[in-house]
Amino acid sequence: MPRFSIPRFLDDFTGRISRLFGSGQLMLSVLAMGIGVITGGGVIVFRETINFMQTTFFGGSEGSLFE
Amino acid sequence: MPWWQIILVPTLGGAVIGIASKYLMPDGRPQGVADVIEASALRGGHLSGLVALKAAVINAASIGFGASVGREGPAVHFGAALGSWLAQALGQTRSVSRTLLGCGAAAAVAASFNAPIAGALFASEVVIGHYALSAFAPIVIASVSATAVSRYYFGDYPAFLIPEHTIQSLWEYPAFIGLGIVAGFTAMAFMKGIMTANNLSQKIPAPDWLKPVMGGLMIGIIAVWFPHILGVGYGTTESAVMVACPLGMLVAILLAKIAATAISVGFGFGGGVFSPSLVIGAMLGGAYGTLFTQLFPALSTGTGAYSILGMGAVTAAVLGAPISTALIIFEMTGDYALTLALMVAVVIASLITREFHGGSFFSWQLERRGHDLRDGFEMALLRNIAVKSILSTAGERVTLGVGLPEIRKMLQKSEVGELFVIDAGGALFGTITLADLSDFAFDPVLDHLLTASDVARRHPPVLVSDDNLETALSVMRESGEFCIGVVKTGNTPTFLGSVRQGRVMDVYNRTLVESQREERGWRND
Repeated sequence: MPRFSIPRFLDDFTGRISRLFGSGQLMLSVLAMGIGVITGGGVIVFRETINFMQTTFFGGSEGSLFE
Repeated sequence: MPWWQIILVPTLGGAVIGIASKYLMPDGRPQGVADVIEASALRGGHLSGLVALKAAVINAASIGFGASVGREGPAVHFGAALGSWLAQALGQTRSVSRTLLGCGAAAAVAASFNAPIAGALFASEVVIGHYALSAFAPIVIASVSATAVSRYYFGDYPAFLIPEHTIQSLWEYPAFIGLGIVAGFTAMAFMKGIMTANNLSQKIPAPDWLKPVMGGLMIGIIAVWFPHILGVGYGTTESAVMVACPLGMLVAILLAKIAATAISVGFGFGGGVFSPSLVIGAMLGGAYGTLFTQLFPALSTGTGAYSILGMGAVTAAVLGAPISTALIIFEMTGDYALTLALMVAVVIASLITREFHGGSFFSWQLERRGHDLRDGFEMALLRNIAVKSILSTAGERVTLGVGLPEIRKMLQKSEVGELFVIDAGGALFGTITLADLSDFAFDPVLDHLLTASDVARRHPPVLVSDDNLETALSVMRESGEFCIGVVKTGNTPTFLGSVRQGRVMDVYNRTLVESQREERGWRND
């Protein structure tokens, strides 16, 4: 079973890092984070809009609608 | 609240939704998760960002006006369109575009349910169709980011705060299996209800914008007696999970919710079926649990537990997503002890629905648009490639009057050993192969007596130009022929050219390789 060794770990270390940057996975991850943040915000706006409309038209939202 | 207001709001809201859909949406209907799956499977992950924004407004307004629909489907559509728009703006490949589309869908589910694991698995299971690390890593990041934003605003609480359950006995598992069976048939009744309402609305001789008005009126009338059906319905679901509804009320709301959601979706309101499925499942599970607890009080974990199991089983069957639904329910309730029972009920309900109904709600919506994704995305791609796109129009056609010597020469030169005989009007008269010529092929005495019209085989297998590659492969397999003539769609079978098996298989292979590349994260460029 191969053992961990520092020289082997450092072998072509910068090459590996540059391949990681060049592979597109890093860019994809950054884009994914942006999509997550904006979509999360969108879900909040969506829910609050619905709550506002239901409160305006029915006097309550979600669980309180039928009470 | 006065009864007339309960009727008036959804009715007038229906007019707003009908007019907005007519003027703002490309095909006059609100969009949802089925459009995301279609974009992922068939359109290289392309969704219009502008249309998604308009759809989000129409969907939010629909729920605000009291339509009995869910808010998660519209959120998935919005998130997916955002991902798709980014990919298009940056000029990314089909593979990246689909991944970012999945990121948006995962983020929407994660933020809606405070369920990051379920969000990531929903996008992989339903939208992308695979779990390869190349797509899964960004999907997880999107899911976690969206959950962080949602928790920052709403706080980190499960959707339902329920007491923890402990399964009383192994003898209770047959009851969970029974619930799965009942849930499967309930899910089918729910989907059938939506189909019936949709067919009914299409048969009504009225302008499309007026149909949500009719739907709104019916929803309002139901809501006078059962206001529980208005909107998303989390409050109603919670009351079932907390065992706050008597048996009669559970059954009544179950039926009312099925009717109200079928009318809402069938008559053109915007919104999803996620939350309605949860409500229906919770009512069904509650009713089942109440009966089981009355019959076997010593064996029952409790009515609330059955409501949770019902929620998962019906929703998984409707969405066609057993893995992610089981996780959504787990993350919504935080009840780990019920997970085994949940998996049993979810799997049984999904199997029943698949066997008797053939697919999920989304697959039904896509089938209505002419897309069948049941055999996987690769086969769906083949179904969406028309034979006219790989048509060979070069040579190998003869007119009716051509003599045998000329036919022999042409057959010798023909790459596929088949000639297409065309009449004066350009229609396909028949085909000639060496096998068809067997009696006359080497008899020069008949050379001046026979023409193409005499030796042609009438009514050969043909394809019409709008047929897809799956049909082409099927016709080739059944007829045993490698080259099939293609005629124009319509009354006159005008000959357009031919399709060869080698070309079809080439396209099929390329589709398979592309799909594998994407799944394994190989680079396309």
